[in-house]
Amino acid sequence: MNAGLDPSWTAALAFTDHFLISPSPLPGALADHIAEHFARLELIELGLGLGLFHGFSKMLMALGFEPDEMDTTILDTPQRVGTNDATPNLADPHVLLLAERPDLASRWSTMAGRLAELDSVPAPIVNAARSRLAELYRVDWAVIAPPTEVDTELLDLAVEIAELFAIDVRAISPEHLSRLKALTNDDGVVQLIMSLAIYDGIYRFAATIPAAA
Amino acid sequence: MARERSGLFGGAPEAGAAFGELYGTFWREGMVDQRVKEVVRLRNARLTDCGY
Repeated sequence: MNAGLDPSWTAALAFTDHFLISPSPLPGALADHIAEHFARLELIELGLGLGLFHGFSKMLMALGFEPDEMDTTILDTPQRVGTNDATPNLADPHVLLLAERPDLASRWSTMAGRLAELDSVPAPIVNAARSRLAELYRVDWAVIAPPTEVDTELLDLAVEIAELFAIDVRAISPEHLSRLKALTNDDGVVQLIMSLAIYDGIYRFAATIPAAA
Repeated sequence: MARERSGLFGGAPEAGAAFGELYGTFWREGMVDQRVKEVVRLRNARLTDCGY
């Protein structure tokens, strides 16, 4: 079926299918196949990119921004738009996953940091939602105890949306988003869904790519 | 090609800009062949049933 494809493409496709369908440690034969074509630093790059593709695809779907419903303004192919050479925050275990690629780690760190500065959704609620993702992807170190002294209606809703984001993103309905908006504000929807997008990707990465020896 | 995302990131423009910088770095400065990245992007779109 894959006759004629460049062998590196076949390996990348096998990695993609595993990452998306059953994020978990790469089985030995698959790991060996991938390692024939991609060095570890390349696999980190590919895993990060795949997490971005997947997380932000689901963000578009959750928010109803798929192409037929989007503006048709076309921009140039993405390129580096700044000179972010900030030192990545390696105290954050999520960033630490990318430490072998400081060029990517610093930018992921900045993105997560800016997202964390938003305050439409209280941090304990966002953290509980991302913890539910970690639980579903069996990233045990990122699972935290449920928060106390928070709005339980908002907590339950955020966790429910997180579950749907991981399992069946199209089941996130306009009603879910309306309730979220009512319990936060206009920006609360973007804050929570974007948080889920980046953490869905990084937890799939954590579940799939072994940590540095 | 990327599409306009200003509406997508709404009230989180700085986080959106940081995403753009990471995404741009991934595409333009990485170690992996861009054709491989495009294969992976398309596979994600197919499996996720996302039109993007």
